[in-house]
Amino acid sequence: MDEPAPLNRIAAAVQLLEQRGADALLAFNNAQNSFLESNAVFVLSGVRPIGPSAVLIDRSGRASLVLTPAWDEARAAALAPGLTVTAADDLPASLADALERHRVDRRRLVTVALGTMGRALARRIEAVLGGTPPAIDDFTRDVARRRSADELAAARRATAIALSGYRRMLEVARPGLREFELAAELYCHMKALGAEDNFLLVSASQHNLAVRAAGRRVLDQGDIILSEITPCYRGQYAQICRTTVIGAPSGAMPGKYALLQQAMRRGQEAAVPGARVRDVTRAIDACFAAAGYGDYCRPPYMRVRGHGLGITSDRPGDLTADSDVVLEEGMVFVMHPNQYLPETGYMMCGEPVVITAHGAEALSTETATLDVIAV
Amino acid sequence: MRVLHTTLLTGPYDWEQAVLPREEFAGRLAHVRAALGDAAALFVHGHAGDYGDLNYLTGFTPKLGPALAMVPVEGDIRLLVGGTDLMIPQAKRLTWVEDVRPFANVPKAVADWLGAKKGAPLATWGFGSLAHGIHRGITAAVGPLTPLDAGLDPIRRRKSPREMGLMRRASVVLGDAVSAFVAAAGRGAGARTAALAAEKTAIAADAQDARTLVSVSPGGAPLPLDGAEDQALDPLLATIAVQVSGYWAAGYVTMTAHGGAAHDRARAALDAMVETARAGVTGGALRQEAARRIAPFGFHPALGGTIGNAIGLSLDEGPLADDVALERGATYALRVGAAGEGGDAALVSAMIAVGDAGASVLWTSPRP
Repeated sequence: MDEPAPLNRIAAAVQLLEQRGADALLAFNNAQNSFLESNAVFVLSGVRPIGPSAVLIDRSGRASLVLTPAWDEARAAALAPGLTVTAADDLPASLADALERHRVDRRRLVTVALGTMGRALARRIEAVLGGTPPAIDDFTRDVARRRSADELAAARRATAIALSGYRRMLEVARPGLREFELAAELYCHMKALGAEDNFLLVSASQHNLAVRAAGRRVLDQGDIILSEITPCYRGQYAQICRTTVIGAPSGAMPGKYALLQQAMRRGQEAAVPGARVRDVTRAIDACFAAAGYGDYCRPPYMRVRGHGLGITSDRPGDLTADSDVVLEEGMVFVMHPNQYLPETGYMMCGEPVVITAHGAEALSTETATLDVIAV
Repeated sequence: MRVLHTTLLTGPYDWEQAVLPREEFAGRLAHVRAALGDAAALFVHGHAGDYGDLNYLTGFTPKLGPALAMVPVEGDIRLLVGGTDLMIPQAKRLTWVEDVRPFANVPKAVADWLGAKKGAPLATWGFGSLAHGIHRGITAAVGPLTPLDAGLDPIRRRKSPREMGLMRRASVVLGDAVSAFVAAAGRGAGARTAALAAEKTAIAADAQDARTLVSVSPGGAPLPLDGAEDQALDPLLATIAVQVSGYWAAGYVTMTAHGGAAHDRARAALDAMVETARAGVTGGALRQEAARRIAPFGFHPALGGTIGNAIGLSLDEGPLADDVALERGATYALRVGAAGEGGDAALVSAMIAVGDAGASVLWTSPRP
């Protein structure tokens, strides 16, 4: 059986320490989760902490998770086999103890994400460390850039939850419902299925300029609902992007939406191991340019053609026409050729994908179509 | 109450003038400016996990990422918010502030805004939670910053009549959510199902946010739902928090079919704390009252030795430490828990408002 991903990453950290001649690595999390960012403590321990926390790895390979608050120890210990888990209410004091236990020379430390910690706490941590050690902030997002088998399975489950959430939306969305009521219905539905968190944008307009968080707007016939549904399951966010019309779509919409679907397929074909992100972006943009919408392939009409997904690793980053990042097998990200077109407004089409030898495989079992809610 | 941070606040946070009109914010701004001393400007930070100071002055809730208000001693506030240019029109719906711009290259944005005032004394509020790296960038660009939290936090804690009305409303919604939780658990539902019943009820009652933690073992500390089975537990402990028009109400619930000595002790301790509470009484005095009633049980470890905190625009507006006195005009969440043998455990709490004539109860845990 494969070792849990955090243990492999701890081994990679030890290699890095040897290369740099450092004694220990200290990786931090400020208790915030971003679906776009790597959470260094999660990557190295498998635990999403509730409070500010850190992982300490020394050159012998011993690893400690030091987290807050104190009452969270049992949950963390169950999630982090192979690490010594200490939960306390005062992170700097607890870190000082851990540094003593590991017999670490504080002058030979490197850190990850210390700069993201809140100012007040960071100053107390620096007092414990005796200064500001060198930062290697990209370490965790680099070492976790390819998902492990367990993480990929969790990402597939998160995708299934997202699809169920979308099906729920097709059942309940109707004229008269407020956007935030629809968002709450989806949020609770997906939470019941095991979603721990959700980056959930749901908004509607007769002519959308972009998607946004739900507001108090009342849904109406003729509205185009945009949804970016992003549940998190066991630390893996998966995002689907969908476009739904209440009532009959305009005559132009189905044909224009087919352009987005075509761009999605071209992007998937281009996203093979070794390809650069810009090649994928250009393959997507080319579909729109061929249809006469080349001028709409840049801001303010669209920004990126997809992006990495936290909290494991945000690699390969944003899918833009100038990104040189090379795709690797096992990378997971969302590809979304969402597009503003003057005839239809902004429309959304996107799936979470994993890079395989044959291109980007969608994790979704049902890919985006232009859906209609009959009224 | 601490829960796993959510990546996006999905509730409706548009500024509602009918609820908090412009004159409410004008009054707050005047109070804050009067406390600035010789500072030429105040910088107020908030992020999606901690934004009470920022919200107090601007009404803005940062749904995603950080935000920074730049407040001159005279003139208009400028607000920097997370997200791209495309999102600015939506962000403007969330605040009475008209000058809203993207939170990008913040040190330069701060320096440019200061202009000729660069070099003058500068004050901050809420910068304790600002990312250390950004703080370093700002000080490198504009020089030292002086935190004024100790002077400004009490202003925020003192609720206006409008705010007190919203605290009462939030407490009613909390009561509705707790009733839904109790009803679901009473029907034999699992902890996850009961928690979701509470959250759904709160949202239907206009809550912007609803959060729950529940036991994952009988009498165990309330924990996040991730990975938890949907088991019916006895005792089942829960923490429920709801946010209405920006204001939080939070409380603990104990569900047990068997009564239990732990609950009786915890309840007696809470009643004694509420009875004792009035302006000037310290957290230490309340703790003594609780300890006397709770013996021979020990305090439940889930509370980490705390007995309460001020509450309002943040779930925690300042802990009731032993040397901290209750303030007139402030609202508090008081809590106490008892843990005995064999899973006999209880957590109970109350929301109170401290006025001239003592404390009035806004909400209290139901009896099992």
